[in-house]
Amino acid sequence: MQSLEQLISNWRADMRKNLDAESVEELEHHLRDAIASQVAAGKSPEEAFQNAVKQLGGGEAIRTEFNKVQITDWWAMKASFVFAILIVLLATTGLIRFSGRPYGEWLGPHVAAVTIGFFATYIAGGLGIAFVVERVFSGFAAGRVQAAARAATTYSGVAAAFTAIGTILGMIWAKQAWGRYWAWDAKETGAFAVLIWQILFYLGGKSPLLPPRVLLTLAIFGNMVLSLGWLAPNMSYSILIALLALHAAFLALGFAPNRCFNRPSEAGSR
Amino acid sequence: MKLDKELVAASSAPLILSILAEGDSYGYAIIQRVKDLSGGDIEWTDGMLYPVLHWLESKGQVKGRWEKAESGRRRRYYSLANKGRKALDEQRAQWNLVSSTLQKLWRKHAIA
Repeated sequence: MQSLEQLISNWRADMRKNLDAESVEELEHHLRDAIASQVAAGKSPEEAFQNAVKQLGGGEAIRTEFNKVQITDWWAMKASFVFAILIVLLATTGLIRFSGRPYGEWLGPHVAAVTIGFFATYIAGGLGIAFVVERVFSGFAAGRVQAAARAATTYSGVAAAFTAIGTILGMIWAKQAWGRYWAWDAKETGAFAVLIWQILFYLGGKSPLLPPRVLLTLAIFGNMVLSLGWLAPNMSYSILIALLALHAAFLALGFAPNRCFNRPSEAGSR
Repeated sequence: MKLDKELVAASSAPLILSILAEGDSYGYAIIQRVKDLSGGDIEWTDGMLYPVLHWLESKGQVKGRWEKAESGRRRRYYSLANKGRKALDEQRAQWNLVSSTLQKLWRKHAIA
């Protein structure tokens, strides 16, 4: 039969799987007080221990409650967001710089509208990247995941609206410049694919069937669709492959189960 | 009496703040105080108290500190902060309003 101290030691090790050291220390004090109270009332130490552990609750349940009220610096999310925006700015700057075409009165607004639409898609994807990276280091309160998913859905809606407007403006410019509205060339087909993705993602975000975590992870796939549809006709294959591989890695991270991450602390983490 | 979990959740912060308004305390003592005051009718899962305490601390409503207990181990004590006093006043006003409104309704519709 194990001694009381051995039982408490095992309990401590078990709780450390879910909670940080200080929280476990605090809970251990509570456990000892509860045991002492029951022993004083006539219970055996082992029985008092079992009752006190039951009354305290399991480590995972307590961690879930801590996750609901956790504070985090969100540094990983902020860094990923800045990274995503930089990527978009670089891509946009590069495209405008290297296109070399004269801008007609329809071409300029077309480029601007489509760029805003594609930029908004990258922001939604950036939110997804920020989510999966932050998830590696700390848990997420359910409310925060839902808020991030709602933001990604909103950006996708904005993206679809601007892309659609930009596409129509582009069709009008193409008619003026080339005598036809649509020819299913690489850029037009790519833009069409992106627009379809934006609409599907938006509808998925509005649907109650898709969990927020899955939606945020799928937003990363949107970046891949965009990279193929927008950047591929204008970029070297090696850079495109590297970009796709990076996003695929983030996607894999997003779909990895929680048990893959040995998060040292989620309660009061800084 | 088993309370609805929403009611337990809603009442936990004002209960904790009210107990700390009486004086500094620690987790186990807070749980016992709630049991004593409610005659054992309000029973929390003890471990759930601590996330609420940490939340109140993150909002600046309570202050936590480690002190050496009689056993020689560290014990975490909590005290009510100024922000917590203001929050408690607001909570008291809200709960009194809800309670008095319900009392008026129930008195009116009391079953003999």
